[in-house]
Amino acid sequence: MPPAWVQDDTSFSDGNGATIAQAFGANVTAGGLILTWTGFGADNTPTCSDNINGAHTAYGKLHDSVNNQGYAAFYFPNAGAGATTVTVTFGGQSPAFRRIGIAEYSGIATAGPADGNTLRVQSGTTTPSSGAITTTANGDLIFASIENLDESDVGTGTVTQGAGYTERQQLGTWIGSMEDQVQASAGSIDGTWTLDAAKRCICHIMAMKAQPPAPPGSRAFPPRIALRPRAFAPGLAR
Amino acid sequence: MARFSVLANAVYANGDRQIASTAVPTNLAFVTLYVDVTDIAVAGGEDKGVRISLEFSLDGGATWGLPFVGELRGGQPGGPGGPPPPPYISSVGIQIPEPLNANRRVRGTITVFGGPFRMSAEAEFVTYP
Repeated sequence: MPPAWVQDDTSFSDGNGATIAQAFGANVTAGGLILTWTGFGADNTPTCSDNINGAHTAYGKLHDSVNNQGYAAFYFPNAGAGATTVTVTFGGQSPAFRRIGIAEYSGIATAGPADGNTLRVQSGTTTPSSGAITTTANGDLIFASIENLDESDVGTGTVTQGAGYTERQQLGTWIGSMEDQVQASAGSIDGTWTLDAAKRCICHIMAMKAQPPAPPGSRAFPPRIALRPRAFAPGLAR
Repeated sequence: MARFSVLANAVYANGDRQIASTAVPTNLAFVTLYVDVTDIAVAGGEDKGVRISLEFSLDGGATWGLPFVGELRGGQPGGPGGPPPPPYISSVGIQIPEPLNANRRVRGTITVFGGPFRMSAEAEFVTYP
């Protein structure tokens, strides 16, 4: 089963706070991958956890001192099932301009899924990009997110997903956005967007390996059992 | 663990500077690289910055994992909260797995673009989470 988007949600607050949390709209399915990105108005190393799985792995953070806005991303593979709320904690600080985006994917390797990761500040362009990564496995999930460092309140303007990507959800009106695609063959790939006007942004791309196919002979229901007709054919029943 | 200098305060031309392979102390699981970009935190500084590539070894340097790359830029100070005051010290960082592994090492490259400009860089290992 190739990687597939399941659900996502976002929220933001321009006020100060020690955390920001977001619940998934539907229960997370067992074995799924949870991806989270967060923005914050401080130089901070946030942590991320949820009520089902505990701590998530941090997958890069950046603080742009020129606009005093930070960004961090996290992942948790092979998630447990249930109603899940993801919480980002800004240890020892209560920054303003907090943002969070969460997404669930299926079909991702349940251990060691990370396959590339880069993030960077972009400024003065209407076609920002994350910078390229070079993946090592075919069929990776490519997740890219962008945080607008110039916006507060509900946001203004437009952001459009890059070629080959599907936009999942914007945070406010172009305060942030996340997009994804499945990369058929390993190689170089970049997270890209088109803006209505140049903004200062933090752009991120991360690759997650697909769940390897089950080895031959490991099917849960062997065909000879699944196809056995006797129990349901009255004429043949003992 | 206190921050330690990676690049001294000086004017740097375009190009790569290596971050030597450094042992990661046990129990520490997050590395952050801080770069003073005050010199390019001005209008027109958007095209100037540094690209930082970090990679980790879990076996004393015999093998290295995929690099993590972060890129910082200058530019006119601003942002949703209004222009912050100087100094402008930006940072990138990433979690390092296996905090009890005594054979972890980190190394990297700092690439200056849009130079020359004055900058400095420091690194810090901290407990995480």
